[in-house]
Amino acid sequence: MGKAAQPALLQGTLDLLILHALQRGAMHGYAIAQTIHLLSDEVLKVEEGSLYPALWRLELDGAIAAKSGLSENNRKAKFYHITKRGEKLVAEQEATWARLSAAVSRVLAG
Amino acid sequence: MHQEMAAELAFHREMAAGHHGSIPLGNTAVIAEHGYDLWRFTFLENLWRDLLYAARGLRRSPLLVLTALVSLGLGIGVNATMFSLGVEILFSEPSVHDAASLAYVRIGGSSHSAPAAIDFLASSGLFADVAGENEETSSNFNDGVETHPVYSAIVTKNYFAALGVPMLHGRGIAPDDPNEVAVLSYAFWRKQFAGDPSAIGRTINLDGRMCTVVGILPEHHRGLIGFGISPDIFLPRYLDSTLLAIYARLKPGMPVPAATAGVMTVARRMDAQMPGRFKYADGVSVSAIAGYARLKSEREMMAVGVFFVLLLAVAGLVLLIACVNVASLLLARASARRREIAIRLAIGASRGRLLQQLLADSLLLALLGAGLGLVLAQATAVLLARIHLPIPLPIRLQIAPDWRLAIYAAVLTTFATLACGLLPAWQSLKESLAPGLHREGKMRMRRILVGAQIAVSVIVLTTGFLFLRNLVSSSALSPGFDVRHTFWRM
Repeated sequence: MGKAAQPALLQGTLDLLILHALQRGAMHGYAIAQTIHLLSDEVLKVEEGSLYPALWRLELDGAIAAKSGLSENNRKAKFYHITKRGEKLVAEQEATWARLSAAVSRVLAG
Repeated sequence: MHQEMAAELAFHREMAAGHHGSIPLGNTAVIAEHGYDLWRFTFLENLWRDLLYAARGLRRSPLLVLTALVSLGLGIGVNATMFSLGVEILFSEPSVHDAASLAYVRIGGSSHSAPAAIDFLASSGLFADVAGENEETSSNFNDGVETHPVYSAIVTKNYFAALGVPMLHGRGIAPDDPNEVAVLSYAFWRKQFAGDPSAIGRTINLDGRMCTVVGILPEHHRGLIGFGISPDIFLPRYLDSTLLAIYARLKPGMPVPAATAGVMTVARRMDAQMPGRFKYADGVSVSAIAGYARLKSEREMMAVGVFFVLLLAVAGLVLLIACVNVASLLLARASARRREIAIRLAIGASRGRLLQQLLADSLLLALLGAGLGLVLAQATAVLLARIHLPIPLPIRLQIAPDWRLAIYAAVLTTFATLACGLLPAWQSLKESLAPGLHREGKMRMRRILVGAQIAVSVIVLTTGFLFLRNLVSSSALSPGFDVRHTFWRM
């Protein structure tokens, strides 16, 4: 379901981006996608097809929790917020990402 | 759940539409399906995948698997056997109709009462039915070649009807039968008549009387006393001197305390009309005959129950030793998989999932061990049923696997999985994050495990030795007369 020029994300990396976005505060799925899109200077477009399964999986794993709430335009929406477990996970995954990207760069440089 | 997901996606669509669709749309149904399946199948799918992966990994260490199987098999087998034995002896139900409404009545503090007392009680109308049984008698059976004693039970003629005992062939003893009839146990029928159904109507020579066989009991018949006691022959009472234990069927809705009070009243009437050396009203009791109610009401049964709890505890210790054994084996193996786990963590596996995968190893071993253990337990049960104990009681234990054993086995398997797997798994995860730091810690851990095994083994061995010593010295107890110069023994 992807458009051509978009870079493919590893599953673990999407989780990292979602959790990082939620660290700024509780938001619903659309807001998370927008945040990632904007913070990446509009490079990363997260599709529903990958966003929501990732959110549901994170919820099952206990890294995020959901609550019902009202959106900006007074519609009922499901708001996610990060849990303590999620905070720990973010820290770990940020470290993993740093190691991974450094490793990839090293390979490409050699 | 499906609706929630659909609602969430619909909301997303609306927001997206409001912002001129800057994010591409997708197919709601497919996404929701994806999410739904995630929730439903994730656990099972992962479990199955983990087990397959564990099986592949274990195939490379056949010695580990063999040791673990033997350890866990024996551990779980011992527990299963003890449990089945305990359940059979403590909780088995006699083969009667509605055992819950039957009670064992004692008057005058005696276990068995005279026929006059039984008739008095029956005619008082207090109970729906009153029957009597003396299960400790023996009769001389002449099979045409020689005479030897067989274990028999003397019963009142209404015994089979009042208790509703199911029969395999023929019928039970009826109130209008003559005294010369007999009901055979399955084992006796197989031995003497080779399982021929035409045995009904034939006569056998018991104590010099020719008795007609009227019925055969089923193979899995369980007597009222329990403990696997099963007489070979059931005869109607033909001597006034035979004392019988009283079993009564309570009237519907009559609780045991009311019955006890009723029997007390009848006993006082008995004392008034049939005065004797001892009073019928002293030592009146009415107790249940099966299940947990019986355990509570008879002090002796409670003692047996406590004994079995102790046995189970010791068996549990044996399983613990086995688990610790397997745990240290898995621990050694875990250090070899350090690199694999480190890579998995780097790629992004969650620690919870990794823990599940590592536990799958021990789950597989525990499942296989439980399978082996249950096979061993069944074999032991079959063996036990064949053993004839060298005591003058006709004990035939029938241990059959049932749902209670299945649940207990499942509990044991879970316990074994956790006991064997949790420590190695946790150690693996810890190590992978900081490799090299814990090499010494690992040796210490293994030494602790071995030490624990030795300690528990010593406890179990000492307990076993003490029990054995008691058994030996109790069988060497002097019976009060000189056994060496006696020439007739059972």
